[in-house]
Amino acid sequence: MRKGLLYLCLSVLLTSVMHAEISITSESLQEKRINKQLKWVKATKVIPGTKIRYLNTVSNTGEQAAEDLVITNPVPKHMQYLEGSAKCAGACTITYSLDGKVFKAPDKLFVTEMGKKRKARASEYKAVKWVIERLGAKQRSSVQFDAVLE
Amino acid sequence: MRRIVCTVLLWMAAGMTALLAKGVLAGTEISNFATVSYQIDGVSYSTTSNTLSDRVDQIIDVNVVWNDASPVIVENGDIGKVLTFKVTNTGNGEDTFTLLYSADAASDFAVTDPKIYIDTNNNGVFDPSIDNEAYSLTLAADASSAVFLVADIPADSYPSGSVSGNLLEAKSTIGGSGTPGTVYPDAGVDGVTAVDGMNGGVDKQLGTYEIGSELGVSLTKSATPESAEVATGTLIQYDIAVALQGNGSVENLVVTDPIPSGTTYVAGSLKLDGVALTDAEDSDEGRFDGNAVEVKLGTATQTDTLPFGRMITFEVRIE
Repeated sequence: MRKGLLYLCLSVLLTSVMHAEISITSESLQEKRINKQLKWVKATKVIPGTKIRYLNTVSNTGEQAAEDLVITNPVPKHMQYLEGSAKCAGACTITYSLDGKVFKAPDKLFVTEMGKKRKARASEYKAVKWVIERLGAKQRSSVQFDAVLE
Repeated sequence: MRRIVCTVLLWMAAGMTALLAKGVLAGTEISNFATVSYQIDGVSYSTTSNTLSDRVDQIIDVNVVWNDASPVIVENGDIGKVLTFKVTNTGNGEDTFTLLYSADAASDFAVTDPKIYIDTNNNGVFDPSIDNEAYSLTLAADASSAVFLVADIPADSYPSGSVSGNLLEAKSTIGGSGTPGTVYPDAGVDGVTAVDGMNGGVDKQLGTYEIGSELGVSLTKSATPESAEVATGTLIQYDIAVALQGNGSVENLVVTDPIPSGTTYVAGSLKLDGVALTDAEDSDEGRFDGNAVEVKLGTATQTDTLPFGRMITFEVRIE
């Protein structure tokens, strides 16, 4: 009995240590013309119509590789997802959701409008999901998408 | 290649639309976070990112339109004539606009004592006893208000067709540089950055007064005795031709003609365009009140294609 409790404590401790090995940070960027070139800089001047890039960086600081990384990012309220803007640094599978729960490829997303079924518009996406197969120890990767402020 | 161009154009169009419309209110928090779930050695974990919070900055803009469909027709010497404008806050946050009058240099004449009133009771019509004279107007995002320019027409003799152009300007008190894209750090609602929009945060519009054509009423009266010799008991028919000089409308046109002394009105003889009118004051246009005949013609309108003309007749007998 005592042994079991100790094991449980250890496993909780182990879990929390493991947990800390993968971290994700989110940044918002906007385009700015610097020396006649458009560059992505930290978003500071956001007005209706501004395009924002959300960049999420995933870091594996541990000694073990992580697998089946599933990153989800709800499209912020008042923002409209920009078609084709979701990307990832390496290889990944990207799917989208109209309700934040069910994720599918763009050609499999439909909405019903006045009794008629039509393909969902990118601006109607509510969330984006990236699946990365593997992130090695001491590795980092990133995923991103662009959206426009209504 | 063609596809890329199309995509870019569409994006620009979407961006423009967003700028034209009010858009999300200034000061709104736009927050974002991402979550990641993963496996290590077959055990599932998940973690959530920081939550980003960007605040929507303020676009400053204003639109002024002149709401009278055509020049407001006035006469020399008119007092308190009204031009109606509409001022709209086309930005995405509350703003106070300074209202400024200026005379248009291209005018035939200048008005005097111009004053600006705000449509306090929001009915779109100038109410002198209700609407307040004011030179600044606070509007929420996308809100609009009627603004009245009230001025006097000089007591002069400007000919008909003379025009007076009058400008109403509305200028943001947050920005209003006139140059789109001018930035005002921390000056917007809730301390957000403010930026002059497509009109540069200022707009003005021209409204005009025009001296109307002068309209005159003419009465031509003729008497026809029943016989060449006029003596006691002779019947005389009077004809009064009513006409307008110039095009336009006259309201409440009433023709009154006292019966000449030494004559007696012939009861029931009053006619309008040959149609008999009763002497009593009733639903028809005419009456005889004991001293004079009176015919109410109401609104008289004359145009080039539709001339106005009425004929009033009545009879008297020499006493």
